[in-house]
Amino acid sequence: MDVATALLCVILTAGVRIVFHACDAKEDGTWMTCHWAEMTVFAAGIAMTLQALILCLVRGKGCHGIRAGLCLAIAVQSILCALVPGAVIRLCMMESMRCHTVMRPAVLLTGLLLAVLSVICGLRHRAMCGRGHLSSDAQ
Amino acid sequence: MIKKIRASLPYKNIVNRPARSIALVVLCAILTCAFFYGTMMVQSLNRGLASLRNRMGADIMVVPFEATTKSDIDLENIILLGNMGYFYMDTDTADKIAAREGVSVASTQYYLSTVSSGCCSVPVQIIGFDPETDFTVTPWIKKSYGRDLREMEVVVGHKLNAFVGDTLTFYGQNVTVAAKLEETGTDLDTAVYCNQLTIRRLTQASIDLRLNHERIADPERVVSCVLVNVREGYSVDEVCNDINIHVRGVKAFRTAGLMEGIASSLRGAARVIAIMAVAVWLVCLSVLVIAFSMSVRERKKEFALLRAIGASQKKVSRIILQESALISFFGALPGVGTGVLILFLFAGLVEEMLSLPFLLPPVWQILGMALLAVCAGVMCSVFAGVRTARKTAGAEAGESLREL
Repeated sequence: MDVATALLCVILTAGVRIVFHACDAKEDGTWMTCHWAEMTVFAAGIAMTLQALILCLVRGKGCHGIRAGLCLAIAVQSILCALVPGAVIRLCMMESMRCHTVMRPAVLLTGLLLAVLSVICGLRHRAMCGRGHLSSDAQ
Repeated sequence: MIKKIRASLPYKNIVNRPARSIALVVLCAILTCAFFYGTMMVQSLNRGLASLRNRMGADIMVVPFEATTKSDIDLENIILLGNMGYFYMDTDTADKIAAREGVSVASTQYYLSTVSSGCCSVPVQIIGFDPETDFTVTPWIKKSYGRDLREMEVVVGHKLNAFVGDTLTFYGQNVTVAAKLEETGTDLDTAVYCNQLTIRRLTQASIDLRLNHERIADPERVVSCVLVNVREGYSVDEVCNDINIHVRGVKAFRTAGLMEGIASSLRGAARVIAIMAVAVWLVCLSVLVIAFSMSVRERKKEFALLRAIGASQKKVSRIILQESALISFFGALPGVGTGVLILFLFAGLVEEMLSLPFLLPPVWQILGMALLAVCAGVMCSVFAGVRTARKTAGAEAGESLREL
């Protein structure tokens, strides 16, 4: 499940730049606001990918607390990330443009999926963490 | 209720065979998703066409002849779907058309598309109309905006991300958004509507910026098209032919004829989608029937034992049917959920890819259809399990045990 979380982080980060990117530049070479929404999601995606990598690399019985914390941090960030196009940063004027039809729904969908997955993952680690305490108390 | 379900034998059977159950749940999800999404697509296309028919109020549309000969101009899409286009004729010609016998009302429209509106990398279509004679746009504007538009006031289409009171800049000129129109499901949803005074000022600004100076000499003396309503007692064809013969340099079209092209494309697309949805649905249903019968046959011994310890035929058949109903319910919910999510999130993309009028039904209708899809999914799965249940429950316990 940790690997799936990391994979979704990579999909969000790479996807927003390569597959479901915002509108192209204007004829005069300047960018519209949706481009900055794309860049914000990209930057947040890099941070989430790094956290997901740590989540995958940190192993051991005593690490479940740290991993649960990382998962919940990713969940919060992914929800914020999903809200960036449209709610936090205003997109282009025409709703028929790429930023509205492709980037916004794709980021929303990936972000929400990531949030759900990381919450489940976090709860699992938290439960394991609790079990670990119980077993050490018993010893 | 949930406790009762969790304690029941069918539920335990499902939970204890996760691989088989997940495969069946996925199949049910695909079945319901295909049923729901296919129906919604067909309904949206039909609503798009109905909306376009309501919006197109004129009997005849007259455009400059050059608009019909230029390869880069798709007249049908410009007129009916609101795609971008530049073509102009003299106001004198428009007056000649209005004076023809059989013409009841004639109203001019003026098309201007922006190259850089400060908002978008693609042009925005600006449609200027004459408020005194207009009978196509004004009724729609009246629904959203009670009074007449003033100079430098605009009404924006539903899909333009601008709201009442916002200031938009076209060719360096600031205009105020006075109202927002209802959705039509066509490119007209991304257009901007204004009166003649505003469109003339915007055109002059575009000429001053040397963007339209080659096309237009004097914005006061040109229009893009004339919309005509035929006087009672005259046929549309008769008036259309009269304009084509007696007014030079123009081409008159019956709007119903233009609409027919789009209607046939829509009907074709709707038919293909419906056929594909039915095909997916039939394949899933057949696979479900086979999967249910195979899984029950595999568990012949289990059912024979149930019969041997005193379970009635009715009880065994109820277990099988409850199992299939539970599996289909667990599959139908995420299936329809996925369908609703895709429908709402990617409706804009589908509309762009189809390039046809596409208008989603109201939310209550979508939710009603979702409920119906869940019921249809459950009923199909129960139907798939009926034959197997009857056969298994009817078999003699001793015989079944001997066979195994």
